[in-house]
Amino acid sequence: MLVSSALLVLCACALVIGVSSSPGDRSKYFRSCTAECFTSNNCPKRIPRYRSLLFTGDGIDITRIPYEVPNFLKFFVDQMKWDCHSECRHSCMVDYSKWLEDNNRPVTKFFGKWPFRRISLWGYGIQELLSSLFSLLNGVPHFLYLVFWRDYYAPKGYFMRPWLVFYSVVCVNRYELLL
Amino acid sequence: MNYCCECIHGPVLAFSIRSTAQHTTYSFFTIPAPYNHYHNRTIAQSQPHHSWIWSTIFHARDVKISEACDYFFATSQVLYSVWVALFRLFRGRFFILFPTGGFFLLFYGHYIWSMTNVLFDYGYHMKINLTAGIVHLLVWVLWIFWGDGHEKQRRYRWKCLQFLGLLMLAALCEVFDFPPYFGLLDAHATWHGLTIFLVPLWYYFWCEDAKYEVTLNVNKESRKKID
Repeated sequence: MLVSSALLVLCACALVIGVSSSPGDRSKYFRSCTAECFTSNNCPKRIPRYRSLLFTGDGIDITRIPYEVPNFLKFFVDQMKWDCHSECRHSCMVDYSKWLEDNNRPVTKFFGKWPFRRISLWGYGIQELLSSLFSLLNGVPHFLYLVFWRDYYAPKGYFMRPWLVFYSVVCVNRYELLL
Repeated sequence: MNYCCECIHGPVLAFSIRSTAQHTTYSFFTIPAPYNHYHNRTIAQSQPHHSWIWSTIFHARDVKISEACDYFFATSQVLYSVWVALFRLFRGRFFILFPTGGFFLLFYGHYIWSMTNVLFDYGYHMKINLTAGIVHLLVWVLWIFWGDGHEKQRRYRWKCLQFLGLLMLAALCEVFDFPPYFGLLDAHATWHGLTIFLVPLWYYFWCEDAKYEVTLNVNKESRKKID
């Protein structure tokens, strides 16, 4: 409960973040490639957001308006989806990396990230497959110790008991959120 | 208070997974209708089913939210580790540790605020985490040499340093940020892959410590009773 509320607060904060830049995305090729791709594919100007229920205007009974139940999982999954802009950026990144490799130039980062191979799983393009897999596996021992072996590393009568249990909760929260 | 710190690894995972799967699949048929609460349970169980997806999602795409949550929760873990180490060093003396806890909370709040509203700076994040890691190591070294009386009796006391040393070696991957091999295995992935095998070491240390401390308390109490 506490963990999930903390997550929501953090994510709300995270909506105001700027974008970091790297030599890859600062390059002339990448910038012109993405601009051309955006215009030729008619990428939308604004990212659609969920409709706010707070500011619906005067004299309107908001209970009469049919609305979608705010589903945070759906919201996050929508954020994770590949849209027009991200597809353009990815294809330009692949082209530019390939060009660098062919000309024996060193690999560069794009937006603070290395150019990863995109792997399709259940219809979603996944970057950093191994990082996500290893994160999941990192959380497993913490979860096991928290649930099954708590009385061994933090037995009753040990003055660190509550703080160590909370340590496991913090770790599980880091790797497997919302447990 | 006798228990074996080495004996706790067992086939618990397989058992638990099997039992939940069986319960969710067969409960509808085996439990009679007025008692099974089938429809209630489907609603209640939807939350845990989602939870397993999250960590996969968080590295799957490099969008802002996922990246921010990854960084913020990593820092929360590191700062809390330092606090726990200090708590252990001072044997849980609250008059020292509530102020330090307050300081850490304020610092964490400032970190989140500056990362979200000023600049989302990977270098700043990295500096904070490395500094906190080094402080963590120093606190444990202090505990080993000038801990709380009878250090010589604690034969297990080097185990925390063993874990921390290996962790520092793994963290070298993060410092020398190398590009991905085959477009898959980069420095960050290697770091995550290596830390999986270090987690049990850390809990093993805590288990040994708990064993020692609890037996110490039991002996004290028995001595009081004799007196």
